[in-house]
Amino acid sequence: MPEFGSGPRFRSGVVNVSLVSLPSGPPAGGPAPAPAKPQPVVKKPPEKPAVKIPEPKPVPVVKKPPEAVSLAPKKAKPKKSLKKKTLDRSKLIDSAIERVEKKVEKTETDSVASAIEELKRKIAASEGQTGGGSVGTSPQAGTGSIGPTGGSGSGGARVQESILIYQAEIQYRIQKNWAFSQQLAGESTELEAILAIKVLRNGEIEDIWFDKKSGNAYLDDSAYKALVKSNPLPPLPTDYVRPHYKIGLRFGPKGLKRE
Amino acid sequence: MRRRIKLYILIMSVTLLGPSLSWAEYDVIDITKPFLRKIPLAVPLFKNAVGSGEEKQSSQEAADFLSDSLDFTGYFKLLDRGAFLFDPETNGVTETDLNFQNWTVVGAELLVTGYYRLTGDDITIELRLFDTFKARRVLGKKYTGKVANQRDIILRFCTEVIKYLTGGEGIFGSEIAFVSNGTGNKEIYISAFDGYNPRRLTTNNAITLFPAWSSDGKWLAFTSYKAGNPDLYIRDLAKAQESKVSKQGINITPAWAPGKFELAATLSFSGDQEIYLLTGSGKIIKRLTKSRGIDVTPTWSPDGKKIAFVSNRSGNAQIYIKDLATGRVNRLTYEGQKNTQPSWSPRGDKIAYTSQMDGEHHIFTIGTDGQNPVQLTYEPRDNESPSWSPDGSLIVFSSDREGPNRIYVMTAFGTDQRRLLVLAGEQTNPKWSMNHQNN
Repeated sequence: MPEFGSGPRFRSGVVNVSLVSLPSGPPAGGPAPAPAKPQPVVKKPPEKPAVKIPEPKPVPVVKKPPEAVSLAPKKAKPKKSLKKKTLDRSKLIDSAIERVEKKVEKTETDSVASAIEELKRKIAASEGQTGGGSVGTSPQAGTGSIGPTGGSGSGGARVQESILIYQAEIQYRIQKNWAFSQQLAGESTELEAILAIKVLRNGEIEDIWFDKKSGNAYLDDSAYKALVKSNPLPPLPTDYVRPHYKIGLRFGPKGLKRE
Repeated sequence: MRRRIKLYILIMSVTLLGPSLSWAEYDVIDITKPFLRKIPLAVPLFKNAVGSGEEKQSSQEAADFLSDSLDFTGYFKLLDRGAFLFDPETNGVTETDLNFQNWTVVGAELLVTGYYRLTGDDITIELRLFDTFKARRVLGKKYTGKVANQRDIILRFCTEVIKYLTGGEGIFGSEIAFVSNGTGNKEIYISAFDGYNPRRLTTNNAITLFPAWSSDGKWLAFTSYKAGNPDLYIRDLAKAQESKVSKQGINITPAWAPGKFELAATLSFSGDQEIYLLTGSGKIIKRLTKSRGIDVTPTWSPDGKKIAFVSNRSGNAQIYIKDLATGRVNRLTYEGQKNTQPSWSPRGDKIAYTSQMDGEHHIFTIGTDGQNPVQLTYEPRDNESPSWSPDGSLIVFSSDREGPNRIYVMTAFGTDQRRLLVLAGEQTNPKWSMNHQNN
């Protein structure tokens, strides 16, 4: 009966193995280059990006003033109508009239004076914001309504939009720096690791931390390395005024397989 | 307007993919598409101790072979040495001497350095694996031996690297058996996992087919017509002794039970092709299939509890799985006109097979639950006989994509398809062994 499985894997005697004694240098002892510094975050010279990433300049689209002035009797002209010529105009007008009527009904109960007061307050607030005043919570709130469609007058729409563009940029940048072998990680596509970074105004990643480890050390490592490699990121949008920006990155090999 | 719409789409897609509502503190964006699906690895030339011409040449061969062997696994992207900010003549190769930023800046996530000494025909090689981003050595080994054993030494270190990364034994101790007709007859050959040192095993001067490795690599079963009839031979590779199964009819497609001195094979003495379980010396233990028509090419699940095989019981050839304990048989494949040549992955979760479609043959994998059949080969015309590497990461197969049939290797995902070796004649029917080589 032949032995199976557990037989000695390696013939002994031909080749001797021992752990390399460390940290004694190599016998030849070449001149040591600068020893590696402790590196929570390796700072790289800004490399030439293989693909030019558009500078996060204040986006032209955002030029229009924030629609903070939305007043009681709203103009019944949904933006959609510009794109969709097939829209039933008469229906649109009907619904618009209906809305105006509702508004009118409502405002009837309010005093006209207080309505005007409210309007003035809103305008003042929106002017303060476009002038670079405190942005308040909007960029951190993040998941709120998107600027141009929001139009609720809460302000910050413009910053919100440039942050979204910034997010797209860093998503692209980080993905380009992510090397991950599904073959090595195994078949599971359910894995996900969430890391967060703190980005300074000049784009430098000041801090990287794990919010959620995947349980697969290789995926966690590769995600961390992708962030280190992506440092520095593009500078924060100029209209984003806070000194740093925090964002989470969810790394997961969803739908990788073969491509 | 167009730009604006595009921007909208961009914004929308970021938001749709991105912000997780549950992460109140900050937005979370999804990173799901790695740009590189491999680990960037740097293997610079080794540092030489003596500096003689012979040493330099031998050392470079060692570095190149290490690089090629790790590349073979499909896990790595080997970085171009021309981009390295490193000169083995002047720079040190240990943790204290290396400037890891010089490696991270070229994108290397792993780095292997070597320190090489050749004196007479003795070699000493120190090999180290570094995680460049953690600026840390993760492996360090010193090997001494004869220069003639250089290949074994390098492969031993490669096995260490794979073990560090995957926890498994890898493939570097495995061999591939295949059929070649270079002499005018189909005979069985064996090469190393990478096609190195192909050598002829049988000299039957007759059609010889269906090589099958035992788990420990000590036995090879095959079918040969050397006595006129397709008989089954079970060869002790060390002693070159054979036992023979010579029932009336055909005796074909052997497959060793994992970790046992038993094998399944197709015999037709009953008048019908059925699969039987045999002892390692060729005695019938029992019959495993019972159905009118053909039952052939068994392949074992790694736990030895099931076999997959080909049967035409439903009309055309399809793959079925039989649970040997319960006797229950399930049909596995439904797509494709004919599905044959099943090979059960050593990881247990998938079966590779050959599917006939539109006059061509292509290799597929399918979950053992019958889910998710995936086509791996697309090159015309015929891609056949898949067989898994011992770690289930690669598949060897034969293909006539370049004219004559030759042996190719690809990853389990169908990527990195390459020819294994070139020999006279045509090569078919490869079978990958488990790790058994004393490297």
